[in-house]
Amino acid sequence: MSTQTFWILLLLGGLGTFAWRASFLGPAHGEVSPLVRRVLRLVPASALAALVAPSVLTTAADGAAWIRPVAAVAAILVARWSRSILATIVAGMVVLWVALGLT
Amino acid sequence: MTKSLEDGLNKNRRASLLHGARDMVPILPGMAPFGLLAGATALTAGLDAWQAQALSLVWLAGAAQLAAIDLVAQETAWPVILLTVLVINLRFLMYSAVLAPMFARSRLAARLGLASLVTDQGFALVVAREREGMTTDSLRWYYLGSGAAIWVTWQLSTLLGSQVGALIPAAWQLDFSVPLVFLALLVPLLTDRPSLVTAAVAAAVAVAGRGLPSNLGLMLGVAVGIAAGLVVEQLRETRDEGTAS
Repeated sequence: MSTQTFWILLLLGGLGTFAWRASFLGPAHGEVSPLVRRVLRLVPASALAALVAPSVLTTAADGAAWIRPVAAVAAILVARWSRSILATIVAGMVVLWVALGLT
Repeated sequence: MTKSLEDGLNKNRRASLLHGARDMVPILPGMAPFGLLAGATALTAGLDAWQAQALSLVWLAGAAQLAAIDLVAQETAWPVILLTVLVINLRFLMYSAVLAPMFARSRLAARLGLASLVTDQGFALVVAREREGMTTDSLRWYYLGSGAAIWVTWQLSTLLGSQVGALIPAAWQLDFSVPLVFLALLVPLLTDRPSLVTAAVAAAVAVAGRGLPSNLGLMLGVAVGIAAGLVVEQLRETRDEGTAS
């Protein structure tokens, strides 16, 4: 990514993020409609799943195609059990490294 | 206002400020690795340490920063990255709506200042305190204290990550930690059928649309996933109404 593109992205992303944060705390007041509320509730699950799935299934530069999916499954199980971000990262990375070492 | 009353008020405010910062302490160790990654993975994506820090300073939004870094690494077109960031941060609009009544009596400048500190962790804490009956004036300072603690931790952990990240060998595939963070955030959200369907459909569409230009499959996945979740919700309501009558 060129430096100029990066700064444009940084600025617009910052403005947009502040617009969300200030949306109701700023001058405007009002209520969130029930439909908007429903959509917003589903946004995080949708966005995170759409981000994760392709990166997990895309093979890394080196290593077998099954390694990242297997490490991701291990991470999901640990996430369910521990509810800890740190434990999930550690579990996924350890499985990845062990599998990379074995193959 | 008399001098002693003013002193008492200032004392109360300082106490609330410290209270907010103190309550954040047990949460900060969980945030720090997240910040370290926002610094370290920026380097593997081809950004420099300044750019990593600029993201933390201007956005103060971990999930969005990691997503942007991930997409930069995949050479995604910037409008798609921007759209993704805005979608991920949409939850702040929800938080803003909940916080607005709490701070309704503050001046506009103060409200905008508080708005710039809206985060997941700060929001969760201040909502819990309000339910416990903390007064509006105390809540404001409490929120400022917890927000400041988050801000400092986030900046320092990003800085440390971008300095240490340069030393981490590429063979460790540190970039994989980004989807792992997202999995850790995603799993607790999947508590009912509509969210499960949303996530499954979003994932499937995003994978199927992988070949589309400029990573458009991602946006398509998000949109179709939400639509599917809404349909499931609607079906469930209709069914519940059917059994009720």
